[in-house]
Amino acid sequence: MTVKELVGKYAVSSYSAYLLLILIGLVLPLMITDDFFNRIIVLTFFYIMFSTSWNLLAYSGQASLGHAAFLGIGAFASTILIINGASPAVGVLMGALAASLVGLFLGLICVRLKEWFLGLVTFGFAIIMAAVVNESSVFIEALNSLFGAAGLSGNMDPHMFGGSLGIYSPNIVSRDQYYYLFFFAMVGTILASHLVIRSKIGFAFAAIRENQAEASMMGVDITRYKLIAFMISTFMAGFAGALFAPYNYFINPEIFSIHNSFMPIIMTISGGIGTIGGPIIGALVINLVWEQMGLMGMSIDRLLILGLILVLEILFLPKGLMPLMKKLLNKASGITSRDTPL
Amino acid sequence: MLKVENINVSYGSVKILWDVNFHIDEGEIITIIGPNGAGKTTIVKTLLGLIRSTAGTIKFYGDPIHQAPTHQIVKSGIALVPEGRELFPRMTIMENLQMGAYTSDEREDTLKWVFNLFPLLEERQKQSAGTLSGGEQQMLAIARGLMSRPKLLILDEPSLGLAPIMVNTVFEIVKTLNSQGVTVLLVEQNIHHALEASNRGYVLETGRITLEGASNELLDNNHVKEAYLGM
Repeated sequence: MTVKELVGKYAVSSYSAYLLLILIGLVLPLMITDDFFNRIIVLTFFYIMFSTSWNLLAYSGQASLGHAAFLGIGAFASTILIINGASPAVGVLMGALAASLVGLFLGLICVRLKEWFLGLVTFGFAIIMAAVVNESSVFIEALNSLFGAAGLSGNMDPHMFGGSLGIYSPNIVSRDQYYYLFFFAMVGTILASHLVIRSKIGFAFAAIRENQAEASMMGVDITRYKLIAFMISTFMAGFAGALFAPYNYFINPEIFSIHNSFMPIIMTISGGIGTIGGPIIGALVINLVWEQMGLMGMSIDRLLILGLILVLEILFLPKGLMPLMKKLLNKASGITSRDTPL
Repeated sequence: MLKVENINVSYGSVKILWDVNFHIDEGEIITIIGPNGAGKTTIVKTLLGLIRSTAGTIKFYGDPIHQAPTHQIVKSGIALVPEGRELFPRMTIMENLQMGAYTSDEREDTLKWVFNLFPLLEERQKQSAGTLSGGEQQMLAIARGLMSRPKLLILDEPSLGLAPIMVNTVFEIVKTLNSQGVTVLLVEQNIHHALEASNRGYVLETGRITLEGASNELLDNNHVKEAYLGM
């Protein structure tokens, strides 16, 4: 069997590609013992979850420009609960649920809005959230009086997840345990996104995105499915945020920043919007570029470069890296396939 | 089957429909004809709940539907083949058809029936809808409308922008469907064809029904002849 045949037989099938990626993900910590590298990979997993969340909402034709809001709500809500005695598993779940509930509320406002109006509302919402948490000590104090805790600004216990999730050895949270926690959370998020997109719900999302009036004439309840998209997507974002908070040791209102809102957009567009693989590849590439620029001594000016990358991509690679990679793979295996946008 | 009573519709402060009345009986082909801007598409959109009437009632099998959301109206058995064949151009033919069956449970049987009517669609089921010709797109639009197993099929300007031979084909299909038990509401500017294909007709002018009657009588009507058929 030639290499060409091999590639044609196995690599083109996306299922085997994903299985291969999962295997690599499982054994990676055995090979990478460097803390810094490990952190970059865990952050990549985090961004894949976050981008997958954004991508699912975009799949239903709703582009959020303020997705950091839900990341932050998940992070803050779970942290508040956990430092007040909730078990980490419950805290993370409730954090994601809180984000999802707020997502439902914002979705209700956004259901009738299209394009930039929807973008503006979500954009503004993230800013409001940042302001509420940042400016209002009343908010924090109210929460404290409710839960009787000492505030959120202090560092959190890095060993928060020690043993409590049941799958880790007690009281030792090692680098690799966090790695696997994020790895499985990421696989779960991607799988959930895949199942939603392949289901009848995903079919309705695509129809709404392609032609909303038509979709309603086919009998799709537009309001309901738009809200479902909002709830699932914001649940995923909240979940990512809830896991990120303890990993990062602390959270502050920075998590609501515009930078965090635009990261999943840039990543998803880089990889390929509306595909399962898009957010994965996009998050991987963009996060590596981001960290590399950090190693080169850049800080916030990295955003300039990312902005430039985004503009160039929209001009020259609007479908992202995903179709390009497929094309190259198919070329290598001699298969000419139809370009599928969905 | 469908009874529309004193429907009034406005876009903002501009009134489009004035006390429109018509009814459709089971098994009929009904046509609503009229010039550009008369309000034909507005009637269709009101029936589907895409626009709300300011007054009047619409009853489908006796149930009022003029306040129901669109997806429920579709579920109750009305399907629209919209003007300009608004397909999902980036989806395949098969996906478009599946989309049409969104509210229906009996997809397999319906699909067989539809492919029987439109063999071309079965051959090309994996092709994107956007790559079809105008006539083929119209066929797909009708087929997609049928996928929900409608009791009433509404066709909005099905002959628009089609070659004369395709126009004939479309009207033939309408008659075939009707003979298979589908009630049809045909909204047309192609007045001659529409009246020939239908049992009864309504003439809509500047938002009011000005004439109604059996289609062959309307074809002989002096006003229709002068105003629309150029005779």
